[in-house]
Amino acid sequence: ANINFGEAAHDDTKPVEIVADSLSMDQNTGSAVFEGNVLVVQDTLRLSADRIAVAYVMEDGEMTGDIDTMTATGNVLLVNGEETAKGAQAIYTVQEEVIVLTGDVLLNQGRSALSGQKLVVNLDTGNGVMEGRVRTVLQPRAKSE
Amino acid sequence: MRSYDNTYSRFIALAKVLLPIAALAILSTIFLISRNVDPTASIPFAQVDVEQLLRDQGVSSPVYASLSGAGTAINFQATRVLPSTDETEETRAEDVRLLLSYPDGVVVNAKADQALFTDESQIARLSGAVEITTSEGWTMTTRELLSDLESAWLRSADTVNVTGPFGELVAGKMDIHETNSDPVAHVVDFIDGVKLIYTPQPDGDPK
Repeated sequence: ANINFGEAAHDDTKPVEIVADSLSMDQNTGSAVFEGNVLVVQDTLRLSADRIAVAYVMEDGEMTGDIDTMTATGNVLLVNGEETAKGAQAIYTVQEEVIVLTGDVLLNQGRSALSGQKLVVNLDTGNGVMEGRVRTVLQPRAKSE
Repeated sequence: MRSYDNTYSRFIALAKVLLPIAALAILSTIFLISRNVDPTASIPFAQVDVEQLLRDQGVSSPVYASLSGAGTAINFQATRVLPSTDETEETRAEDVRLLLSYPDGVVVNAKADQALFTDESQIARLSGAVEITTSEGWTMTTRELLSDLESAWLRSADTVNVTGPFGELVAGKMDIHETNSDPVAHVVDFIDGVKLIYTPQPDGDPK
């Protein structure tokens, strides 16, 4: 099912802020593992999880500052504007600005909710594709409102 | 003086008188009219307070180099080390520079105004303008740093501010130590709360 996720195009030049309880950084493999209620905030995007492993772009063995991918595991919650999506695991490739959320994903936008196995969101264009036993729950608007 | 008929003999007779007088005159310039040289001034003395030097004997510009069990080269330098006396039971080193080069090629060097060693343990407490730089381009500042000169770990006493290729980071504590992986590398752990801010360069920006 195609959905749109987040109105404004996500601006990937905004600073990324990562807050966590602990961080372990290994300069040789260019990996930084944040643990303990980790929260990543970039512009309108908020990604929180128990553990996020950040892999940096390696240039001939040298760890550069650019983030290649972020792998979040452990009750992952992705919030972009008002839409929130929950899942077991998420992989965010910063360069292509694509987030793949897997593991019985539950997406709710405003009043409607959508669940499935895999949600691929392209932050730049703002659209997302939900795959795998997609079920949607529409709340009929109650008369009294 | 006998008079001679030819000029040559006269000349020689005259020379026999004048030359010694001239020699005498030149000789006297060395002793009679020369400047009196003060022998003590010519030897340069170091203007150091000798009592102070005697009172607290210390080692000047000591270098301590060793290798940790896993192969990290440790090099500790200071301008001066004062041994522990009865009132201060800590050995104090001034203007300290510590260099740890880990087997994976990364060099961490710490600089501080002073380092204190307590009870012969190999743990140095660096304080006073502590600054840590690594060969990967990180710079870290903290208030106090603990370092074990045997097993090559570095631990910050409290908050540490780091700037590096990944952006800026503030953490409650920092701990750099060897990994027990093979080959031995090093890892940097930040604990007690971490906040990292990374501003990506716009995509088009050549690295």
